Amino acid sequence: MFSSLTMGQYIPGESLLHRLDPRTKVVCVLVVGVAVLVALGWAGFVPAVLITIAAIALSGFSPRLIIRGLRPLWLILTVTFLLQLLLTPGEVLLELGPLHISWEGLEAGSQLFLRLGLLIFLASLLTQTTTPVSLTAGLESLLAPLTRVGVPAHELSMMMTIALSFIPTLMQEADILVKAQRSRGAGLAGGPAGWIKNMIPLLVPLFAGAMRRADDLAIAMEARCYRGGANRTRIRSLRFGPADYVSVAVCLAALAGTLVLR
Amino acid sequence: MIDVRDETLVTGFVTEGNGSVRHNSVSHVSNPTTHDCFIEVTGLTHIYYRAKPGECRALSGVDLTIKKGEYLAVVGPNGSGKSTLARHFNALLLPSSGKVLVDGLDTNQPEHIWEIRRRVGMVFQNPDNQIISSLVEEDVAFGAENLGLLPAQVRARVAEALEQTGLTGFRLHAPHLLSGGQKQRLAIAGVLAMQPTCLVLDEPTAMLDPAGRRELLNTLERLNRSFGITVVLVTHFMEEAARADRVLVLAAGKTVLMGTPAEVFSQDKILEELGLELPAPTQIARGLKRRGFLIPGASLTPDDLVKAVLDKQIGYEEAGGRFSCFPKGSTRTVPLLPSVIKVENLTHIYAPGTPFQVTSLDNVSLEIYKGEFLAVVGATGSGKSTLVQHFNGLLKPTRGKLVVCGLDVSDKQVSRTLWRKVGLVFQRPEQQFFEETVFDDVAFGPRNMGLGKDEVKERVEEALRLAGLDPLQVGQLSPYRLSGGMKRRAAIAGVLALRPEVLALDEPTAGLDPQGRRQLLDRLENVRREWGVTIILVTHSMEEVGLLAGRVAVLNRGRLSMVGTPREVFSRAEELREMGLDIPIPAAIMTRLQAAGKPVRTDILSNSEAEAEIAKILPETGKQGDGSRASR
Repeated sequence: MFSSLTMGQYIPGESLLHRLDPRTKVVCVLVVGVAVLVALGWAGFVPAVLITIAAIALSGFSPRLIIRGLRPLWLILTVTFLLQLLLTPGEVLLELGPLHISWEGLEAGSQLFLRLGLLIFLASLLTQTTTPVSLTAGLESLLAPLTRVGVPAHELSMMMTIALSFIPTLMQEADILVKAQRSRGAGLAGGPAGWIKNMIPLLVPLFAGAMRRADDLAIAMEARCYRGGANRTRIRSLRFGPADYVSVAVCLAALAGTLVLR
Repeated sequence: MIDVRDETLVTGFVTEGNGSVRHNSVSHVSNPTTHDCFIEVTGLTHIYYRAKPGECRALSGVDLTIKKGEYLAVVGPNGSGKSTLARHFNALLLPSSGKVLVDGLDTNQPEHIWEIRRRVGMVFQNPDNQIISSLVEEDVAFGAENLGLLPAQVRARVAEALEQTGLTGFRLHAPHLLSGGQKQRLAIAGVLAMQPTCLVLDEPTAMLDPAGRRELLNTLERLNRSFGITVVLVTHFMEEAARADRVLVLAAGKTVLMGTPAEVFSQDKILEELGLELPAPTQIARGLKRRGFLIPGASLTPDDLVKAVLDKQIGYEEAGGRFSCFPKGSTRTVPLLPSVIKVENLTHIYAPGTPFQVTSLDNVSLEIYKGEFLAVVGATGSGKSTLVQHFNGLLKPTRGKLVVCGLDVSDKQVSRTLWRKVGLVFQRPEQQFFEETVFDDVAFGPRNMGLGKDEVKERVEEALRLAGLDPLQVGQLSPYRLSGGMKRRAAIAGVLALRPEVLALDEPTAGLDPQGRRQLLDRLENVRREWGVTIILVTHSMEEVGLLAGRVAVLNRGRLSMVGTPREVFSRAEELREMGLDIPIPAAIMTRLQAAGKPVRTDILSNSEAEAEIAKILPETGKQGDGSRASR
């Protein structure tokens, strides 16, 4: 029912990409992401595509694994491509009854497909090579300057860490609940009213369980002296190495390249 | 040290249950030395504000002293206040009245809270709910990081904590892929990294398999003996409590007994009244004493009893039917009945084709007979749950064939209706309640069967009664208002109401107190006898298997490695231990006696059988003429 391969799930490894400072990876994803968004024309995509291919090569993952992890998103990508393809006016290439496919539509659709695809690739490479804890440590450190204007950087990042580590557990719990209620004949009523009726035996205990877990975890954290961000240190202090400087420089160069090629 | 309570006092308290009787003569009065005293509790009362009616006073007037380096076990029925007390030791809860001093620091003073929590680490029951990070190393570091240590110091402490708990090799693993026992050791490592003086564990073994329990208890003993860490272990298992230096028995928020295990477990009447039990070796020794044999010492552990028996270095008479040794229970014999479930070469693979692919069942063939009581055992992850989920069509075989109640499960029509024939009770079924009343929740299944109103009512009431609950009393209550054991049985009633031909239960007694476990198992056996239902019990408790099952199936890493009567299976103790399992304590005692050269049978399942068998080898001269000495 629930695939055990969650999108963007961390996959352990020792590759260069795994070892980069999380801040570097976040900054690089942001920089290349901007490059992807501002790119105009096919040539404009070249730097971002090169960076993405290089990143995949450096991650040590097989491209098949990455593509498989993105499976849930293929539908969205395809739908946006088709909408662009069919709804962009211009020189008609092909006519299928009421549907017109234009050259402009094909180009706009493909470019949007590429744009979204690259963004998804970059984001999932980030989460697949960075543990949730070091990712949030990176974000916290990047957001730290904003605490002065009242942004709760530490709290935000801790919330993210916990949410991420709870997802697999909640999926498992939902799976068991579905099975338990099906063992008592749930899920047989049809129609929209039936669908809502079927969800109650699932959602009520799922929420109750999530609350109970949250409560347990809060107590476990307090018992281990957690009291917010003050005084907290990290087992790995974040430090930029040569590889980090090079990565950021390369990504900035790619952004510059994109702007030049516009 | 005054440890054993006057019996009249205790009985008065149990029946009257109000605060009129004061119990503060326990131990610290006679032992007021403070230099080696670590936790000092005086007159501790705790009142929950948002409590259920009638349950608001979780602790009333508890006095207790825990010495540095001591190993203390806390036992008591569900709802006796054990967890509440444990949470006072590191200021997770604060006294409503009374005082808790930890290493001289008052938990009531906010400035001490963090130092108290550093010194007193806590491990909880559910391993999944205390994991913070998705990497073992980072999870262990969490507490140390909160102390504001330098990264190098944190790393050193993490390395040491992993070493102490035997997890060094798992430093870079994902915690959710560890076994239950490893997860609990991870939780301990996370506490050790804060270099505490004391570890408090709240039912840490409730969700573990036998190997996990052994690992955890050995780790605790090592930490206590070699590193001088004070250990407070809250548990429902008397065998675990018997290994501690002292045992505290709580009931209804008050201290009932306090003393060495020998002292506490000599008060069998009081324990029985509270629904607790004696450790198995102690029970056997008592039985022998009742037969007139003199067994010295308290026989708290299997080792104690074996030693006591072997120390009687007097020749024994040849075992010659002095006692009839086995109760020939006709219900326990394997019935030669038609099969109700037939599994042939069943293989199940989760997430095939992904890097997370797992072969959960590997070529399993098994026949289950109508009306039998089959136990399914195996370490965590051996495929037990996967197997039973095939029986009612929740999972489809990847390969192989499955016939249930004469129907081939590969037929989609069949697997969709199988839930009417095979009832499946999941782990912790009380967490699946969703209706406002017990009645409605139990009625969920019958209503889904499309039954009429009257029939639904009849079935619900019948199911509740079979589960040992009074429909008139609990029917209109919210399921969350019931006590632990009752909640569990109400949830099982929800499956009984389907009137299934086969009832499969996944660890139905996990987390219940001894009385709750006994009541539940009694009800199950009752249902089997009354309805002729086939019962499939998935369990980690070898004692339950020994007491109830007609046959046992043993799974090991997805393969079926043994099937047979409990006597046959438990005669292969070595193999079972290698699979992370164990044999029942009475059988383990007999095995040790046999290894020491005594001519005893080892295929022993219950305490009374062990008693009879040991009686055979004890010399007649060991018998005491007058019962008064023996019964002491």
